[in-house]
Amino acid sequence: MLLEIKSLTKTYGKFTALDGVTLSIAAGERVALLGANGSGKTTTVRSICRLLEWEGGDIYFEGQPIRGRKQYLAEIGAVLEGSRDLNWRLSAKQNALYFSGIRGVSDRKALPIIDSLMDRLGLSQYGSRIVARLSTGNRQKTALLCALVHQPKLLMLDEPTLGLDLQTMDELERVLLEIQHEGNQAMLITSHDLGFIDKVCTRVVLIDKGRVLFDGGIKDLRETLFQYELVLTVEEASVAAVASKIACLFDGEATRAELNGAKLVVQYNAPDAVMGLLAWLEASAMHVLDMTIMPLSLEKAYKKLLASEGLRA
Amino acid sequence: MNFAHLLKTEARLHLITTWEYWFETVTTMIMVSLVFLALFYGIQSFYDKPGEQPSLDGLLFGYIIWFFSIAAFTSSSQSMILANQTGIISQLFLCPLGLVKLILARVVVIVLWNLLLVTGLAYIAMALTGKWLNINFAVFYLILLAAAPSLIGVGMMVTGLALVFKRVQTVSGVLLMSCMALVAVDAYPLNWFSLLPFTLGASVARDNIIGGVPLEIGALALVALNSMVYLGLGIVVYKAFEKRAKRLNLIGHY
Repeated sequence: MLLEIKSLTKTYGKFTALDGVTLSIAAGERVALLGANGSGKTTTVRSICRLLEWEGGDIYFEGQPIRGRKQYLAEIGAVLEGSRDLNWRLSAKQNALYFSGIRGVSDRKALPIIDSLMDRLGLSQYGSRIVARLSTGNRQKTALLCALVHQPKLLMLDEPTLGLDLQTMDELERVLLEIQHEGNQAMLITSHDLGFIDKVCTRVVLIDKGRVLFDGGIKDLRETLFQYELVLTVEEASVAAVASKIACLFDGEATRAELNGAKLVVQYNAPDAVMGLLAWLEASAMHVLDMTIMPLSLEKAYKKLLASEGLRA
Repeated sequence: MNFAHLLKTEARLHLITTWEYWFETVTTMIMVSLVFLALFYGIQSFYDKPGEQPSLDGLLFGYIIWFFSIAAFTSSSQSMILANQTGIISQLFLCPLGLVKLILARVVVIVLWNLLLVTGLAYIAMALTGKWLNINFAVFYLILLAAAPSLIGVGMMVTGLALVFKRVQTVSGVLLMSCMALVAVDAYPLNWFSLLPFTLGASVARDNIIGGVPLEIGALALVALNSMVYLGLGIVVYKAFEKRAKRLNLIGHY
């Protein structure tokens, strides 16, 4: 295992930021760390970067505890504060050379990597333009360039899509996947942008109030809840009849049905589970005002899981 | 990864930023020279007798060494406070050699650069006033390099304070003003003032340049000892504040 976090605990007085967080990342794995603001995502990443001291548990990199082992820092790369990680008076290349330099990489080794990464990130065209004169997206890419130039085994990105437009996010997603595919780097990404996570990551760790609520594949997270959602809008006079039919048809299935005014929401797993309902609607000549069937988005799965944990708490 | 590589990386950064901020470098030299000129002629106007002239030599020397002492003191604190404000400090903490070594590499570069500026300032000041001091720069540099770590140590303490308290302008300002006293007091032969940072180095340098006293190895060793004590103390204090900042998750948060 590349990185193992075991029972990590961090408190500030009476406030518990991390409450026994345990997770591991294998080489080449792309893991998303999800959670609401203040859930403990950034605290976890900053602990891995040794930017804070924790009280309980420990972090291991390639089987060795990271405490008191500074050399380990040469094996990780991180974008922690977005473009604030950079020296704005230097160009992208000068920043990359500086950050590779303080990690012990010689210019001879760093320069070809920088040139190649700049090409792929679309930064070459900006040449010697200083970071202060780059767009937000290109600053973010420069921060990524600096985190990658020493070819770390583990790359951590804290909110990498913050402030980026859709096109730049697509580019970032493409470049991350390309780079990861070639270098087989492990990635730990925190983000609120679940669409981005869905495309880039293969595993999700959901954290709330400093505790890990879920750790598994994105597919597993979806399966924890439901696969599809049918939203049906009928005339108000028909609501009772349709609701009763839904209760009858979906009884015993892994489904959830809820009534929301004239809108009926059915959540289910088997793709053909709604066929009976549709046939009944047609046979009964029920007037359907609107109907959508959507696969479960990661965002919805995440919100549902958080809400259910909230109810349990 | 070794310290020499870190030194090279920091030297390049310094050169690039000095070039980028050339206006600041040039105006600093002009302003410092003008302030000196105003001080020099202002003080000279109080003296009538030629016998009092050596005090003006002392002023010239004192001004040069004060300029250097400020540079040595602020070499770590100023750049780290700025790094804290901009957020870049989180990335500096990812240096595998540790932030203390990175700061030390940075201050070595800044101190060496300021030796060049001091030399320039010395010649500008001497040319402007027409008072040519007999400075053996090799000896002068040797004393300054032996004395500088004491103020770097004090600067490290302020850097540590800045990690936790963020805004330390008042402490920093008071210490900057104190540099004026540290270069002015007579600390050699040894007395209580000798225990303060940089005083011994400034006194030994003054005796050598103004008084024409040859540099004694023993005196230089004492200057170095004073420096090592303050530098060591500075690193210990800095580490304690760094630990506290990490415990409170304050790194990079301004």
